[in-house]
Amino acid sequence: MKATFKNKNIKTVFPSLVMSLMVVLQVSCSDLLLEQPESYYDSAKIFESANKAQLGLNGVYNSLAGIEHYGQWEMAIPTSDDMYFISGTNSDGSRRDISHYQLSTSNAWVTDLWKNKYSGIERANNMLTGLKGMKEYANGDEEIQRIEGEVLFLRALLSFDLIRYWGDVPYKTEQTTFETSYLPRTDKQVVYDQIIADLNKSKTLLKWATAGTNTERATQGAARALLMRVYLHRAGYSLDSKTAQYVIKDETERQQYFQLVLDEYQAFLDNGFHGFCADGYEQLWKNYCENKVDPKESLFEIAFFTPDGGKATAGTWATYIGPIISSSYKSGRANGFFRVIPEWFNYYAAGDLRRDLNMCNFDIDANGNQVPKNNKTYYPGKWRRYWVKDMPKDPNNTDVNYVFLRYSDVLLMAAEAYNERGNSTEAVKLINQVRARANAPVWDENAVGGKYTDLFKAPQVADLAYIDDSDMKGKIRTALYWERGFELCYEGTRKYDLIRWGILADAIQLHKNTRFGAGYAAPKNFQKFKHELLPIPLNEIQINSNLDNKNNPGY
Amino acid sequence: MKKLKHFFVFGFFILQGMVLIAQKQAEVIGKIVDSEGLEAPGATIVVKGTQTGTVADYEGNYKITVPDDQRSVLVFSFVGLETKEVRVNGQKVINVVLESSSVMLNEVVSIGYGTMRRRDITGSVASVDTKELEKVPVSSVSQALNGRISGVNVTASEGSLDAQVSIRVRGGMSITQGNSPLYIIDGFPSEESAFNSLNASDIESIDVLKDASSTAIYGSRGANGVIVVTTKGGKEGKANISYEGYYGIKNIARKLDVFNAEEFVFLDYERRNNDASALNKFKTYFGEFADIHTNFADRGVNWQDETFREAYSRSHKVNVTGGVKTMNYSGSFTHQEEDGLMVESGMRKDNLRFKLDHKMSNRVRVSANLNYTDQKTSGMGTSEGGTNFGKMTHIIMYMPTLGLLATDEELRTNPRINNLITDDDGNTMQNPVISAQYETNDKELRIFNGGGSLEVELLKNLKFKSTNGMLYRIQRNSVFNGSESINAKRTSINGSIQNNEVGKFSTSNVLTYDWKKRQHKLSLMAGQEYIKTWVRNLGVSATNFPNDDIGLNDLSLGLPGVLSSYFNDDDILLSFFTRAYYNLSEKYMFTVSARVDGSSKFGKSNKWGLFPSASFAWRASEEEYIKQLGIFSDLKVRLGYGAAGNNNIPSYQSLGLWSSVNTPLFEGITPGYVLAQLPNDRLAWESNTTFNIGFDFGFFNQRLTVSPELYVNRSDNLLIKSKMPLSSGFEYMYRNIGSTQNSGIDLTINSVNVTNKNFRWTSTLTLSHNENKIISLSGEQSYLETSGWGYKQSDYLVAVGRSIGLMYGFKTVGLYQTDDFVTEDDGSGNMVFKMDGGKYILKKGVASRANVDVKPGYWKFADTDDANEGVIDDNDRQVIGNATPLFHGGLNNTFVYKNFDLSLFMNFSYGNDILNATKLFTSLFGWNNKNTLALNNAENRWVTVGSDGQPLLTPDAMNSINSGKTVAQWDDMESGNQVIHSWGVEDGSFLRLANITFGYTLPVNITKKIFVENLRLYASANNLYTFTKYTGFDPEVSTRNSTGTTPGVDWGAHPRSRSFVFGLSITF
Repeated sequence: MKATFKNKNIKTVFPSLVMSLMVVLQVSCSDLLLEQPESYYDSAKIFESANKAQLGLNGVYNSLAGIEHYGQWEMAIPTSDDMYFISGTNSDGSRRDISHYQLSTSNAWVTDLWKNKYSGIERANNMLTGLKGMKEYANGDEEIQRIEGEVLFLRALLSFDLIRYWGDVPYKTEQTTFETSYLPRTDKQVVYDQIIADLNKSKTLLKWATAGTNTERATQGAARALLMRVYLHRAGYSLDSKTAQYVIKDETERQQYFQLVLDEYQAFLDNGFHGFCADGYEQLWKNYCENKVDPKESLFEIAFFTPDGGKATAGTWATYIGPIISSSYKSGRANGFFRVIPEWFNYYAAGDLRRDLNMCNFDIDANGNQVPKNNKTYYPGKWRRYWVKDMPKDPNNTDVNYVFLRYSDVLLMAAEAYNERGNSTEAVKLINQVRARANAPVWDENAVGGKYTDLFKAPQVADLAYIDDSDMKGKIRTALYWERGFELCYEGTRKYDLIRWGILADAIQLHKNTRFGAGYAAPKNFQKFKHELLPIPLNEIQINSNLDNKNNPGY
Repeated sequence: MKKLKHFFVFGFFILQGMVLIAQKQAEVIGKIVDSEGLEAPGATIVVKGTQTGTVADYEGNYKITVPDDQRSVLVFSFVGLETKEVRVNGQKVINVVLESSSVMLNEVVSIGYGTMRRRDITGSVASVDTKELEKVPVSSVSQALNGRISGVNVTASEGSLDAQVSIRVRGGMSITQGNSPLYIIDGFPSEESAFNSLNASDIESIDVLKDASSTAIYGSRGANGVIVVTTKGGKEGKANISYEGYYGIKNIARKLDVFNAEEFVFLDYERRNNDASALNKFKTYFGEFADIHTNFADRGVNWQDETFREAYSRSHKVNVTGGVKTMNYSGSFTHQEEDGLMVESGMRKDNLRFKLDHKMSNRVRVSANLNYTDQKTSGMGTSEGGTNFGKMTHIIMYMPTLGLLATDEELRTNPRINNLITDDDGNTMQNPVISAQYETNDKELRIFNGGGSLEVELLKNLKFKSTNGMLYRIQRNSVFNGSESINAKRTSINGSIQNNEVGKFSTSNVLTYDWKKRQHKLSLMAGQEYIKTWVRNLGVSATNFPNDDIGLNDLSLGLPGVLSSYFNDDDILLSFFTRAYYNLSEKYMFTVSARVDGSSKFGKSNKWGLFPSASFAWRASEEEYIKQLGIFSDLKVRLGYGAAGNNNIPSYQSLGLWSSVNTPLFEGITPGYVLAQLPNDRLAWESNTTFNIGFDFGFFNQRLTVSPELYVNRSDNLLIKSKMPLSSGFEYMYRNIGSTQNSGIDLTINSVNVTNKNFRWTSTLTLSHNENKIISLSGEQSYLETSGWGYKQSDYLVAVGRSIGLMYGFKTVGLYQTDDFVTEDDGSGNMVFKMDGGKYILKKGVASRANVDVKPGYWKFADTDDANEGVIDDNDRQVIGNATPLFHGGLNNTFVYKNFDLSLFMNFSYGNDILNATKLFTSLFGWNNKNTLALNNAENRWVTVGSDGQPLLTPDAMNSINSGKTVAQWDDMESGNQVIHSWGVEDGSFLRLANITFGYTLPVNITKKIFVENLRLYASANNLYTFTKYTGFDPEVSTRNSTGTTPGVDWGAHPRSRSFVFGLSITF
C-alpha cells in the first residue's frame, strides 16, 4: 500500500517536474540558440565606416571579374558581327552557339551572364541601401560620396548590359527580399531612365582622372563616356521584346539625346585630361597585355588578376582571343578561339597602323617564331599573349584587363552626335583625330565632300547597300560605320552599334561569301527580329511564373 | 579408480530403490529468466511424460506440483529460448536460465535512450548480426553492412580507398539536403567518419531505427533513420588476451576494354583523313597507312595495366578484456595497412579503444570509454579533379602509343619524353603513371572521442542516467603537384592544405521509471540533451616551390597563394524528450513519445520544434486461439505513426550574411564583402511523418522468421536549397518548401535450415523496395539538374509527381543510314549523295538535328515534340533512365560443420539504371590523340574509310562496310558534340558474390594443451564475381551525387578490387 502511494507520487510529480523544468529552460535557453556567426559580417557592421563600406564596393567590382563574366563569357556576346566570330560551328551549348546564332534557351554562358549581371546589380542595390543609412552619408562625407558614385556607375553599366542583351527585363533598385524575388518584366525605357539618372548622379560624385588614377575604378570620365553610349543607344533602334519589331524614338527626342552626348563631350574638353595614349596605337594594346596603366586613353578597364592561376578573378584576354601560341612557348599557350573575316585586311587604308595590329595571320611556335597561316585565317590581334611579360600562372587564365571605355570611342561618339545634329565639320574633325593617331590618311578638312568619301568607297571597302550615302550626313554615317570598325573592333561595341543603327541583319550578310568559308555561320543562321536579343534562360522562365512563360521573340 | 566407479554404480541402484519407495508429491516454485537476466513471462513448464503443466506469470515466476519430488523432470520452454529439462531431485525452488535459441525474439535492441527486448518493441528496428560482420575482414564497417539490413542501402561512390560511402535508410527523404542517418555510438551522437573508423570486431550491436515512431525520440535529427552502435565491453570472468590478424591480396576485379595500338592508329588515320596537313602529321607519327599492322600489332600500352596493381593489406589487433564482479574492462589496439589498387595509393589506420564499466554500489554504476583513430589515406580516387579530365578518363584516353620512334617502355617510364599530349583545344593529358607519381594527395584523419556515463538508481525502479562525451576530429587534406605533374608543368610546383576541425560536446540526462504489476508493465522516460558543435576550417596554398623535396612540409619554400581561407561554423541543439511504454498481458503494447528540439540553425521565430509519435503492437501469438493453431511460434503486428525532423543544413542560413570575396585591383587582390544569401527568418525544420506497419511471423519454434514491413513516409516543409529566379541576384535560398513521399516494403527472412549436433545451416535474406515520389517543389513543376561531369549539361530531371534520380537526355534510336539522305545519279549510273554546299541533304520526313549538319553514321535521336517536328532540339529530350532500383538486398548463408564454418554472402540490386558518363566521355574519339573504349572499335563503329585507307563516299561503299553498326562515326564524336543520350544509360542490375569466408576452429582439447582458449583460421574472398550487364567497372557506383538529386552517375569511378584474405584469431 505504501509502495503504491509512493509510486503514484512519483508518477505524477516527476513528469510535471520535468515539464515545468523544460518550460523554464526553454525560455532561458532561447537566447542560447541565437546564432552569432564569427566569420561573416552582418549588414550593420559593413556600414559602420567608410573603410568597411569600401569593402562592400569591392564586392560590387568583384561581380565583373572572373571568366564567367567579363573574363571570358562576355567575349562571345558581341560575336558574330560583320568583323569576327568564334571558330568551330559544332554546337557546344555555350560560346559557339552564341556566336553562330544557333543558341538554345538553356545556353550555359547566357545563363551565367544573366546571373552575373543581376548578382552585380543586387550587390550595388545592397550598397546603396546601406550607404543611405550611414551618418557620414547625411554629412556628405567625400569618401562615401565617391563610393556611392562608383556603385551607381557599376549598376548603370550592368543594367545597360541587361537591356541591350535581353530588352525588357525584371528590374528593381531595392535590396531583394523573398517577396521581390519574382518580378515581371520592366519596360526597358524605365530602366533607361534609371541608368541615366544613376550616371548623372555618379558623374557629380566622382572626380576626373589624373595621371595617377587607377583605370580599374570608375571616374567622372568613365561615367560621362558611358552616359554618351547610353544616349546613343537610346536614340537608336532596338528590337522590342513585346512586338518583335524594331522601334526607335521620334526625331525630336533623338535630337535631344544627341545634344546630351555633345554636352558630355564638352565636359571632356573642359576638363582636358583625357586624350590618346602617348606611345601610339600599338603600344596602347601592348600596355594592356603588360598591365600598364594609362588613365589618359583608358576611361575604364575591367580588372582581372589571378594570384595563383585560379579562374575566380581571372580573365582569358590574350589567351582565348588573339593568335594561337604553342603551350611550350614561355608566355604560355593561347587558344585563338576567334577569327577575323579576312576581307577586312583589304579595307584598311595604306599606312593604317591598325591593320596589322587588329589582324594577325600567324601562330607562335614553341620558340616564339611566327608561323604564317594561309590567307583565310586571321586572329584578332589586339591582345597577344606573347606580349604578356609575367610568367604564366595558368594555361588559360591571365591578368590582362579588358578596356570597357576608351577615349577614341568618346571622339567617335561625339562625331556621330555632331553629324546627327548637322554639324558635319566638327564630325569630320573628330574622325580625323582618330585616324591621324593611327597614321591613316585623314580627310582634308578644307575639301569636305571630296577625298573622304572616295576613301570609304569600294573597291577599298565594300559597298554598303544599307546606308544611304547620298547626302553628307549619310557619307559621315558610312565613314563612322568603317571607322568604328577599324578603331573599336572586338572591343564589345560593334554588334550593338549595328543594332542601334538598325543594320545588323544586313551587315551580317555583307561577308556571306567570305573566303573563310562555312565557319562564318552567322549569314546562314541569323534571324532578323530574333537574334538582336538573347533568350532569357530557360530555368528563369520555369522558376519565375511572373515571366508568363514568355521568352524573347523567336525563342 | 575402477573400484570407485563400481561403487557409484552400485550406490546409484540403491538410491533408486530408495526413491521409488519415497515417491511423493511436492510443490516447486521458481523463476525463469533468459541469459540476459530478463524474465520469461508466459514460459511453459511441463512435467515430463505427463499432461501436467503451467505457465509462468508476468515476472517469469511459476508454481507447479510435481508427482515425484525426486524423480520428476520439469521441461521449461519459451519461444525463442532453448528448452531445458531439470530433474527435481527434491529441490523446492528451481530457478532456470534459458539460453537464447533465436536472437530475433529475445535480443536486446536499442530504442533510443534505452533498450528493450525485441519481442516487446512496437516500432521498426532492424539489427545486424554482428557475428557475421566480424567474420568479414574489411577496413570499413559501413561497407560490411551492405545488403545485411533490409531497408538500408549502402553505396560506395566508387572502389577506391577514400570512396564516399553513403548509408540511406529507406531511401532518404530530402531532395537537396543531407540524407545521412544519425549515428549514435555508445549513447553519444557521433559522425559518419567516426562510425566508419570503427573496427567491425569491436562492435557489440548495430540497431537501425527505421520508422518515425522509433526515431521521433531523436526529434529533429531522426528523419533519415538512426543507427545505434554499442561497442564491446569487458565481461565478468577470466581476463582474456586475444589476437586477430589477417593478410590480404587484391587485384582489379574488372578492366575496361580499350583500343590497342593498332586500333588506335587506325582510328587516328580516320580522324585525320579529311585534312591533308593532318594526314601528313599522321605519316610522321605513325608511318604509312598500309604499314599500320606491321608497325603496331602487338605494341602499345594499356594504361590500366600500368596504373592498377596487385595490392596487399594486413591488419593486427590485440584485445584485452576481463572483469570482476564490480568492474569490467576492455581495451584494444588495431593496426591496419592497405595498399591501394592504384599505384602510389594506400591507407594506414591505427585505432586505440578502451572501455570501463564499474559498479560502485548496487545503486551506482559508472562507465567510461575512449577511442582514438589515426588514419592516413594516400593517393586519390579517380573521379575527383576537374570536370573535364577525371583521372580515370586519363587512364582510358591516354594514347597507347607514342609513335614509331619511342618504345613502349620509354612511354611508360620516362617522364621527359613527350608525356604531355594536347588536343585541338589545347587541353592536355598526361601519362597517368607520371601523374600518379607526382601528384600527391594525402588525407589525414584523426578522431578522438571520449565519454562516460553515470547511472544512479534514485529510488526503487527510478533510474537516472547521465551520458556525456566529447569528440574532436581533424581532417587534413594535402595536395601537392610535384615537378613532373601536369599542373606543375603548366604553371609551377604548387600545393595546398585544407584543415578541417570539428568539435562536439554532448550531454544527455535521462530519468527512467519502470513499474510492473501482474499483467501491467509500464516504463516512463524523460530526459534532456544538449549538443554543441563547432567547425573550424583553414586552407592555405603556395606556388613556385623550388623542387619536390620538402614540399608542403615547409610551405614557406613557395610563394604564398591567396587561397588561404578560414571560417567558423557553430551550432547548438537543445532538447527535451519523454516516452511512455505500456505493456498489457504481453499481448498489447503501446508507446508514445515526444521530443522538443531547439536548434540555433533556424529562423528566430522557428527555433523550436515538436516531434511526437505513437505506436502499438499486438503479439497475437500470445492469444490462446492462435496458440491452439500450433502454427506460429511468434505472431506480432506493429503499427506506428510518428514525426521526426531533419536539420541537416549548414549554420547561419536564416541570416543575411556578408561574406568575403577577392577583387582584382592594381595587379593584386583586395578583399571585398558581398551579401551572400537572402535571409530567411522563417526557416524551420523539415518534418517527416511515417506510417509503418510491421509483421513478425515465427514458425517452428522460431527456426523460420519472416518480418515484412510496409511504410509510407512523407516529408513536408522540405529544407530545400531552392532555386531562385536569378534576377533576384541570388541563385539559391534555403526554404521550407516542397514535399516528398517514400513508400515501400522491407522484408527480412531468417531461417535455420538444418541444425543437428554436427551441422548447422542458416540463411538470412533481406529485401527492400522503395518508391520515391516528389509531391511538390518550390513552386515550379520541374527543373533540370546538372550532375557536373565532363559534359557540363543538364542530365537529371527533378519533377513533381515523379521520383528522384531520373536521367534526362535524348533517346538514341540508332544511326543515320545512307537512305536517310537524298541521292542522285552521277551521270554514269552510280548513285551518289546530292550535296548542298558540302552538306548532305536529309530526305523529307527524316528528322534533322538542330545545329548539326548530319552525315551518314551520325547518332539519330527520337523526335518527340510536336512544336518543332522534324528537328531534334532540346525540347526532344526525355527521361532516359531511373537510378532507383526496383529492389535490392542481400542473402547470407552460413554453414557450420563440426569445427568448420563457411559463410557465403551475396548482395543484389535490380531495376536501376546507371548514367555511364565515363563511357560517353571516353567515347569522344573524334578528338585527336585520344584513345577510347573497345566498344567503339571498327566492328561497332560506323567507319569512314575503307580497308584501303580511302574515304567512303558513295552510299554503296558506306553500306558495304557499315551495315548493322551501332556506334556513330568519329566526326559525331568530336568534343563539340557532347550530347547526353540513352546510349550512355545502362541497366545497373547486378548479383554480386560479395563474400565467401571459410574458417576452421581448432578443437578445444588441442588448443588447451598450448594454453589457447580459442584458435580460428580462416580464408575469405571479397567481390569474387558480379553478374551484371553493366559495361563499366562496377554497377555499384554514384560519383556525382553531392546534391542528392543526381544518383547513379559513373563518372571516372575507381574500379573495384577482388580480394583474398587469410587470417587467424587466437584467444589466450
